[in-house]
Amino acid sequence: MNEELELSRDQLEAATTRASASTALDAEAAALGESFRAFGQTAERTAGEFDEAALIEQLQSTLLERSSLQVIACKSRGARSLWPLLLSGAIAASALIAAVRIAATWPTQPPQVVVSPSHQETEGPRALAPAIVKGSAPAEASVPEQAYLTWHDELDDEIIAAQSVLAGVAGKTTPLDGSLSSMDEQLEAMASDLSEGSL
Amino acid sequence: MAAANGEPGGQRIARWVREHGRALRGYVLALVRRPEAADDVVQEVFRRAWIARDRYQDQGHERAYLLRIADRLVVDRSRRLGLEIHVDDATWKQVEPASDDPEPGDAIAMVETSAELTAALERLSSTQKRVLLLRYFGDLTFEQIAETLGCPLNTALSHCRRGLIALRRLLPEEVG
Repeated sequence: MNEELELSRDQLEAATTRASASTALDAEAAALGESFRAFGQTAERTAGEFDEAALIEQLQSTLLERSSLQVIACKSRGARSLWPLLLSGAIAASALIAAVRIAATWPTQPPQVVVSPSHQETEGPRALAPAIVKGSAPAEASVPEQAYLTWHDELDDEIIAAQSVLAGVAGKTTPLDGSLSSMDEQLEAMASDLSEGSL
Repeated sequence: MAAANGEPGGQRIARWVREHGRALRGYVLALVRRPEAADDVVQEVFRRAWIARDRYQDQGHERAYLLRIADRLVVDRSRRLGLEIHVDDATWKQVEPASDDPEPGDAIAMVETSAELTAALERLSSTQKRVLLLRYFGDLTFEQIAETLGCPLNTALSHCRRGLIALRRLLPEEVG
């Protein structure tokens, strides 16, 4: 056999078919074709019996079971992964609502306290909630009392009033007034002595 | 794969095995020479084809696709195991691990491995074997064979021609 035997592609294709070539081949190509088929048939015989049913059963049990397990795993993984998302979303929504409510109820001006008359008559210091808060009327009901607690002592008012009176009196006194009053007191004392005949 | 859309998975696997299992096993066994190893490779071929079933665009060449996977697995295996694919049966029996004793059926199959095929396969180069076996078991075109081997078309044709000439020297007198 010539190692450099030239065979066209068509001849190679015809020689390497499982069935005998229907196209006309020269003797060399036909002989190569016979060798090819003998080789293939020997390989087939060597392969022997092939248990298709066993392989099908094995593949179906492994591949299909794995597919179903993967689907289940994906589903459970997806459900698990939603919980943190939902939880964080709920927390974020709660924080947002709380922030909005605080912003809506936050007073724009500091509260002014009006003390009711009944409170002025009570004795001792007391912590009081204001009777009327000006400036944020719609939100008054929801404001905690602690936000408006102020220190009110009636004694402080009295001290302040006494200080003002004393300041006024002190402002009117002069050194001349003091000497006249002392002289008047001395004259009154002499007059009483004369009338009693002691002089 | 063919008729993949709407075909239940179990039916598709059964159809693959019935239509292509025998050819795949014949191809792989001729290259790896050990029935149990061939069965493992064939099972792996179907497993990989199943995993890639959604990516595979059916072009009517189902067997070529499966044989391409099988060829890649055999080449990878031979590279990984080194000597195994090159030793003859007698040498393999000597170096075969004791824990990997073949089943009685496998042993019979080993005995039944024809001397003609062994001699022919020993005479062929690895690429020549693959070209001829792909042509016989898969009826692949030479373009498909070249693509499977990763070589130019003319190279695949040359391997085919040289393999046929080598077979012609051996087989006519012994096989027929």
